[in-house]
Amino acid sequence: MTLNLNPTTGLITLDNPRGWWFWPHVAYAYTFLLLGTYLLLQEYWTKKEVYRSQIFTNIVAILLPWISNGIIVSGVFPNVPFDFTSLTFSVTVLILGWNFLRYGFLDLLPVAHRAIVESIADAVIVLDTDLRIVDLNPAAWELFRLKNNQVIGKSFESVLQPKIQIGLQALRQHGYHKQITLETTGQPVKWLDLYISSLRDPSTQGGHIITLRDVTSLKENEAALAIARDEAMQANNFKTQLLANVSHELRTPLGVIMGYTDLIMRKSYGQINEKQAATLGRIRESTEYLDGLVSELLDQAQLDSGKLQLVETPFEPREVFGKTANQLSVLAEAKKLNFQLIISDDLPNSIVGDSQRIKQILVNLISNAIKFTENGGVTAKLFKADAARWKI
Amino acid sequence: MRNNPPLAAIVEDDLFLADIYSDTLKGAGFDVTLFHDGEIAMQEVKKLNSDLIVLDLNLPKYSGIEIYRDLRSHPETAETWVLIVTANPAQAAELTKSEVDAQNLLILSKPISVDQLDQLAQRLVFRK
Repeated sequence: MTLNLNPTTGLITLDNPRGWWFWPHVAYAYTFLLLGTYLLLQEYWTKKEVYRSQIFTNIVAILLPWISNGIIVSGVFPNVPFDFTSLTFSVTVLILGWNFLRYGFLDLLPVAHRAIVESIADAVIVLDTDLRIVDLNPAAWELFRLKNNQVIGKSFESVLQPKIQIGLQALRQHGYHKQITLETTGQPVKWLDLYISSLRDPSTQGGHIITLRDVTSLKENEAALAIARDEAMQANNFKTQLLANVSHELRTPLGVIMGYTDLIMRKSYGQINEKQAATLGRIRESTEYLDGLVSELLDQAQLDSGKLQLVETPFEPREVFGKTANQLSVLAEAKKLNFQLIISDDLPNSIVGDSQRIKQILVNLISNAIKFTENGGVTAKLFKADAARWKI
Repeated sequence: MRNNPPLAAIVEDDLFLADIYSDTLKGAGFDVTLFHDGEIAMQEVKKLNSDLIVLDLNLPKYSGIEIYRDLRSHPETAETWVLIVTANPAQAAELTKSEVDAQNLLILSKPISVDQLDQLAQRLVFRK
């Protein structure tokens, strides 16, 4: 090894002749350079677009020492005054440093991601493509009472399938969701929401993530709500039934009071004096009033229970209304009242609606009208109120 | 052909109501046969050849609806006027719905007045 003063540049150079160890050292260094470059190129092809510019800059940084050292070692430019490999290494470091700052290598994101997985309450289990367990977070160990070192590398089938009944095919379905129960000795049964997601990152081998969320308290609330709802419905049905029964039980004796009062008033059981007739009239009126109250009570109970449902089908209104009118005319005739049903000529031959309910409305309206009309007549009119509606 | 005097069958398990209907119809000139039990009514009413049948819906053993349907399935009573009287408006509504096309049938809610029954019975039978 000799020190020389270069007369042209004025630099002192260290002249270091290559010994036998030089080439093994070159082979060693280049193997690692090659490997590093290969890894970077591989990253470049497999990573998403957004990461490529960052990898590209890294490749540039690593190529500089390659090129400079290649020039020196190969001796293609013999006039190069000194080995500038170390200089290019400095440039490489500068580029890498710039990269660090620009792309936020030191950002917290990956660390944060890991911390989240470690600390969330949901159990997370990672399986590889052969459905072997490769990772699980503390919530998962806790949930299944496992120890990390007992299960890593073991198959899902042997460790977890006995605990969570889910088909192996389902594990491979991205987006699969199922609600399952988990029974652990000495613990109450837990309800879990199970989700499967596939790892689709092309840089990895692929695999599957199982996420399990404890929804036991939600389930319990749901069940409690359902029980409360059923009880409320039961109580409501009971109320409706009770009112229907009460109304029936009240109506029969009311009918008896009214019937006998009528018969006595008609002198079917012999003569009565004026005072007796007036008294019977008051009994009759009060009974009718009471009957009205019972009817209202029952109507209300039926409305409350929401039993009314409409069935819409096409029907011929003239036929339905005509038949109804024929039957009701008997009621009117019995009271010596005129009864008329006028149907407007532009009523279509067929309309869509609940004909039974319409008939019921007609019957109730008209029979009530007949009931409360003493003289004259009852007229029901069916006509077009506006473009969209018909009126009775 | 109408019986002379006309004949009415009354099917009503409440004895007082049956008595009231009976007195009313007798007053209107009817002969009356009373039934207080669904089972006997089911067997006997159709044999009577009556001109009018007053039928309560809530009866022991057979309901009024079952008796009514049975009456309609026999030619002798297929066209006889039937007055169904019920204390349960929901049941009346249900029957009105299912028997939309029924002929010679009137469904009435209890309580019915003596006048109403008297006038209806006369009108129905004498119009026949």
